[in-house]
Amino acid sequence: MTTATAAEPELVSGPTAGPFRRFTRRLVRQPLAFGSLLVIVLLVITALAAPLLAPMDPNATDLVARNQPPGGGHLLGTDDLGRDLLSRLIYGTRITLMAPLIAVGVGALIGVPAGLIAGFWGRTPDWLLSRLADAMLSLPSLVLAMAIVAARGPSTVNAMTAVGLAFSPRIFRVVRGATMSVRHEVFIDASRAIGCTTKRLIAVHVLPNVAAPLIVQATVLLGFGVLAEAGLSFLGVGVQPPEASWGVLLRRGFDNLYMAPFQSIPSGLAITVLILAFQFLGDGMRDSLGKELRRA
Amino acid sequence: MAGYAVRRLLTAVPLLALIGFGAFMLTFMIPGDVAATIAGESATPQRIEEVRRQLGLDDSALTQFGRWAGGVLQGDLGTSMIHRIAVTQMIGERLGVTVSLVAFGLLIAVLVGVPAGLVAGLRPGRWTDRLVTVLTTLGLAVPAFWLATILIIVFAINLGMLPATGFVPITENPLRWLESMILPGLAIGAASAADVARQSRSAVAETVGRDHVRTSRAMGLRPRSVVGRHVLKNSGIPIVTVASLQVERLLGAAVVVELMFAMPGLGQLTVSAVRARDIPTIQGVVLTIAVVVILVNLLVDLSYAWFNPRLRKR
Repeated sequence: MTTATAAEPELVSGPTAGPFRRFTRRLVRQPLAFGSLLVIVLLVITALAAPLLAPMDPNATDLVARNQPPGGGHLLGTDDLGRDLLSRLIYGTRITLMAPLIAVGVGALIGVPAGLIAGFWGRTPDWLLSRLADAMLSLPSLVLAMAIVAARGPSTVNAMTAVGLAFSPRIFRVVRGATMSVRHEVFIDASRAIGCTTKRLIAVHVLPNVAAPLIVQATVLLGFGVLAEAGLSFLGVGVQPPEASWGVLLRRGFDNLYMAPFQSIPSGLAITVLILAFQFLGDGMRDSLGKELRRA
Repeated sequence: MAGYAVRRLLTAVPLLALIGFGAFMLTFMIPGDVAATIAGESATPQRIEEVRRQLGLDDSALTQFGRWAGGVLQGDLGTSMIHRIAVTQMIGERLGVTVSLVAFGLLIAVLVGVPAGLVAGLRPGRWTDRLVTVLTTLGLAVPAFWLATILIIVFAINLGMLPATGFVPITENPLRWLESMILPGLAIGAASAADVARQSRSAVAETVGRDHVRTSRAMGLRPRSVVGRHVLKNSGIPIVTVASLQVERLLGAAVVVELMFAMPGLGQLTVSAVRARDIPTIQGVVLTIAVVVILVNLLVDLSYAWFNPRLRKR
């Protein structure tokens, strides 16, 4: 989603405007990215205010009103136990948004230190860590996550931790690349010459340079996290009932496909929109990074 | 060329060793008493002891790894905890279904993605280009399992044109096999087609702008030979690269989609093994999928030499 705004000269922002202000200004000017940000903010609000927004109790069964089509008392219809699908969708927002955060958090916890080590020291640690990343990347994330769930047992946290592990080589590669590109800058040598410790060098000079590409990658991975959660929950090895995520709803709908095909539409559409939103936001952020931030 | 192939083949060895070690370590990731967990909640103490002995859990980790790796190298992946049959046999029976589904998905991805990318990339900025961009963006965002659901609703339930379940082996009835492959193939292939189209578009758009293409056009070469000889062949490497990257994506999607269409492939085996915590089967599946992906990457690297003869000399 390249737009002309990314290349615009900095006439509007005064000399005092920091790179972050310039970044937000460019981001807000991209309709797709800004719209996606709004969608995500609205979904976060939906998740927080679920009890206020949901018309009914998401777990209240009504065996008289099973598999009701949309309309009437139930805007999106009911499932095979007579539960209101709109309310379940609204409550499902909570786990659907939480799950990718767990995955990306775990991925960053492993990928960032590993990437810093490989990028900063190079040589043997870099070779070893890079081979490890290659090995992990030759398995589909879903399969890698399923293997770990098989050992640890199915639950939301186990499944998303496993997905995070599968994401870690992707974060590792971005951090490693960004670290390598600043590693030989003059200011690094200069800081070392005046007696900076390695710890301080990484914290003060390397990390800020890694942050921008890392945040972009994390945003894109949030979208993949949504997909991974939905996939694992669809297979029944992710989010476990009675907890509900959009992936769980989609599976329930699929099991009733011949009875009530409409049940599969809202949750699937919601998942697609959320994935698109993270994708557009990530693209927009990448385009909004100025040269001063776009090193990797 | 042969030297290049051998050197490239050797790089796969540490990768496979690492994946093998990771697969082996799965047993050690099981919380609590491994034997009790694997045997299941209702297992008798005798059964738990049997499992412990079967897995050799009393030995040291190093002995266990040596024994397991030795078996793997001889083509022995152990015995399924649930079905009590050799894992290699179970995988062997199902690998064909998964491989043919992935191949079918890849075929769709290339047959749809490359022409779409070509149309878009030859005339950047035109309405066709914009249409392809919108479709690829959508294609990459729609989860395969939701697309499969929609395809079943439309083509199997409403139109009754294609079957939603009932996989037929190709040896039994090739026509019915093709029918049973179309919907799952489309479901897993769509995202890949979008990715291939996107990468082909940028590769083609980049090549079209080069001097030699402009020169051939100016010299009056027919558009068809300009595209075929100069644009497509020079866009070959990025297109083949992105197509090969799809194998990993397609395998991941196949796991879910196979289940939806009741296809007896690796996906079904994996899901039932995960639910039953059948670790030997999972280890076998992980190794098999890794070997497939690494093998494809290897073949692709060798194909670069065909596209770019300069690589052969190295």
